[in-house]
Amino acid sequence: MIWKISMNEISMLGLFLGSLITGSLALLKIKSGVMDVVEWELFSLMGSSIVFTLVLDWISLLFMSFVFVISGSVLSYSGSYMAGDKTFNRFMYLVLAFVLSMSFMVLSPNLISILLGWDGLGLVSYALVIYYQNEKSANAGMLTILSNRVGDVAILLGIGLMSSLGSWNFLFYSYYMDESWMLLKIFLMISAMTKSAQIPFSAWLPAAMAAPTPVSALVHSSTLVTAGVYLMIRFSAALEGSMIQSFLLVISCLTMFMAGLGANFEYDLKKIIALSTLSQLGVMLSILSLGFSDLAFFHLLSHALFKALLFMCAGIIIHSVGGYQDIRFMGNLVKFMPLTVSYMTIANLALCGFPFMAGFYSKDMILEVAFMSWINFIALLLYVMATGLTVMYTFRLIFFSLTGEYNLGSLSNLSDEDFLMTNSMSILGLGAILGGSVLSWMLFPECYMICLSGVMKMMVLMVSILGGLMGYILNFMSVNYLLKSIYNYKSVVMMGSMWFMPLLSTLKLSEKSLNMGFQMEKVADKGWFEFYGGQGLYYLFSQVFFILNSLQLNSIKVFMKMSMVMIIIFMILSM
Amino acid sequence: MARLVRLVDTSRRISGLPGVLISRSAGNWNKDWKPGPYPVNPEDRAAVARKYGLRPDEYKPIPDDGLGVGDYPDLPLVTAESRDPYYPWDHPEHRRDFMEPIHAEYDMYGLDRVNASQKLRFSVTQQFLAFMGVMTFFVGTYYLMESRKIHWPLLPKQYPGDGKVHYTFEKPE
Repeated sequence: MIWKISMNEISMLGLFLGSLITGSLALLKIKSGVMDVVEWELFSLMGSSIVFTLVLDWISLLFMSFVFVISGSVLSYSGSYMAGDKTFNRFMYLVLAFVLSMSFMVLSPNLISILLGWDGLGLVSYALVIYYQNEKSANAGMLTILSNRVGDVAILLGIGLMSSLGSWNFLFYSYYMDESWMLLKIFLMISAMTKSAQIPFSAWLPAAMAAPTPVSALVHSSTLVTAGVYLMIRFSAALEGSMIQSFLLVISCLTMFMAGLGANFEYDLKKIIALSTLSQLGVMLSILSLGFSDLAFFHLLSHALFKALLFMCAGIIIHSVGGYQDIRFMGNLVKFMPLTVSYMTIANLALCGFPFMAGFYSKDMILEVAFMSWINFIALLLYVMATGLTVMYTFRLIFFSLTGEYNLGSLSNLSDEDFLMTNSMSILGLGAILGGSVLSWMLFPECYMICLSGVMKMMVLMVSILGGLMGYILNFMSVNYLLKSIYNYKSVVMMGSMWFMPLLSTLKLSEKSLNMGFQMEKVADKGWFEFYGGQGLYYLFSQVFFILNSLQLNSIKVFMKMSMVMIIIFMILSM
Repeated sequence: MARLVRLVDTSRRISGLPGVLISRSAGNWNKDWKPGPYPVNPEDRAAVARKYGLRPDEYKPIPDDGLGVGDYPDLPLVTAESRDPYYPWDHPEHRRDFMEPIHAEYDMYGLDRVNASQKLRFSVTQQFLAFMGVMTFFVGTYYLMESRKIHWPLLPKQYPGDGKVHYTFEKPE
C-alpha cells in the first residue's frame, strides 16, 4: 500500500536523479567532445562475438536527461491525475517500461539493439493507448501499433541489408554509405516517418490521444514521436547529399502545413495539441533534411519541454471542467485557474516562438537557416504558411479556452488547487522559459552565422503577427457560432480532417484488407484448397485405397495375374 | 430423463452453487443450425421465408455459388459499430439479439472491425482523390521547381550607379 501511495514520488525522485547524472555527464561530454562506446560481450561463439554496445555521447546523454526529467514530472503529475484509477500500479509500470525502452533506443548505436528499444516503444505505447479499455481506444491503439509496425518492418529489412557489412553499428558505417545504400536509407526513412507520424502515416498521432493525458504528455508529444527524428539524426551522415533529403523535405513540410491547417479546424483540446506536435515534428525533419541535424536536435529538446507542459496543462483543464475536451465548452479559464493558464500561455508562446522563450531560439534559428539555404520555393512557402498557422491555432486555442465567455455549467468547480499536478509542472514551466537559451549556449557556443535581407529577417515576425491576429479575429467574428464556415463545407471538412487521412488509413485499408481476406478465404480456403486439398485428397485417397483394398481381398486370381505380369516383365528385362 | 434434468436444474438454483448447464433450448449441435438447401421453387422459397420469420416477398436468398450458404437470406449488412450502443441487446458485446437473423458475414464486422455500413459524407473514392490531388499538386510542383532553387540575395547587387565605385582595381602592394 505504501508502495502504491508513494510510487509516483519514488519514481519521480529516481528519474530526476537520473536526469541530473545524465545531464552532468552530457555537459562533460560537450566540453570534452569525447564519445564513450561501451562494448559488453554477451558471449563468443566460434570466433563470432555477440556484443551489446552502448553509446554515451553528448547527444544520447542529453536526450536521456530530458526524457528523465519529463517522465519524472509526468509520473509525479500522474499521482493526482490517475489517483482514482483501479490499476494505478500498472500505469506506473507501463510508463517506466516506456522510459526503459526509450533509454535502449537512445543509447543504442546498433541497428539490432535500437530495434529492441524501437519495438518496446511501439508495444508500450499500444498498451498505454488502450489503457482505458473501450472500442474506440482499441481501434486507436490498433491504428497506432500497425502504423508503427510498418516502421519496425522497415528496420528489420534494414538489418537484413546491413548484415552484408558484418556489423550493424551505424555510428561507424553511416559515414561510408554512398548511393549504393539507397535502399537502406529508404527503409530508415520509412521507419522514421512512421514513428514521427509524417504523411502518409500521420493518422495515428491524433488517434493516440485516446491514451490518458499524462501519457500524451510524455509519449505522444515529446519522446516517442521524436524517436524517428533521433534515428534520422544518428543517420544524418548517411543522408548527406542523397535524394532522400529532397523527398523528406517535401513530406515533412507538407506534414507541417497539413497539421497546422487541421489544428485550426479542430475542437478537441488534446487533438489540437497533438496536431501541433505533428507540425513541430515536420519542422524538425525538414531542417534535418536540409542538412542541419544539430538544429533538429536542438528543436527536439526545446519542443519536448514546452509540449509536455502544454499537455499537462490540458490535463488539468480537462480534469477541472469535468472531463470535457471540447474547447467550446471552456472559456474564461484565466479567472478560475490563473496558475495553469499562466503555464499554458508560457508553453503556447514558446510554441509560437515568442522572443526569448524556449521555442524562439530553436524555431527562429531553424526558419532563418532555412531561408538562408538554397531551398525549393514550395518548401519555403510551406515553411512560411505553417509558421503563420502555428500562431493562428495557438491564438484560437487561447481565444476559446483561456479567454472569452464562460461556457461551462454554473456548478463547475474550477480551480488549480491540485498542488501535486501544478507543482509537477514547475520544472517544465521553467524549462519552457529558459530551456531554449540555456540549450543554445550549451550546444552552440559559437554563434550560427545568419545573413539575411531585411524582408526575410522580418518575414517570420510578420507572418506570426498576421497568424495571431487572424487566429483571434476570425474567431472573434463568430465564424464558428454563426456557422459561416458551412458555406465552404467541403473544403472545411477536408482541411479539418487532415486531408481525409484518418479515414483513408483506417476505413479504406481496413475494409479492403478485410474484403480481400474474405475473398481469399472464399476462393482459396473454401475453394481451390478445399477442391484439391481437403476434398480432392479425400477423393484421391478413397480411390487409391479402394484399389489397395481390393488387392487385399485374398483373390487368388488377382495374385496369379500379378505373378504372371511380374514374370513377363522379368523375362523381358532379362532378354 | 426430463425429470432428472429438471431436478438437477432446480437443485442448482436452490443451492446457489454454480453448476454445469446440462440443457439448452434448441439446436444442440451445429448441424441443427445449418441452412437448408438452396430453394428453387416458389413453394420452397415461401417455406424458407417462414422458417426465417420473413415475408415471402422480402425473402431473397444469397446467390448459390456452391459454397454452402444454402437458403440463408440475403440480409442488409448492419455492422456492430453502427448499432445503438445503449439498446439493451441480448448480447451487448456483439450488439445483437438472440435468434436475430443477421447478415451472413456479420461475424466479420465486429466492434473491433471496420464500420462498413456507415454513411460517409464523402465517398472513399472522393476522399482518396482529394488527398492524392493535394499531394500530387504539392509534390509535383516541388519536383518541378527542384532545378530552380531560390536563394535570397544577402546584399544589394554591386552595380556601378549613383557614382559609387565598388572596385577600384588598384594594383596590389
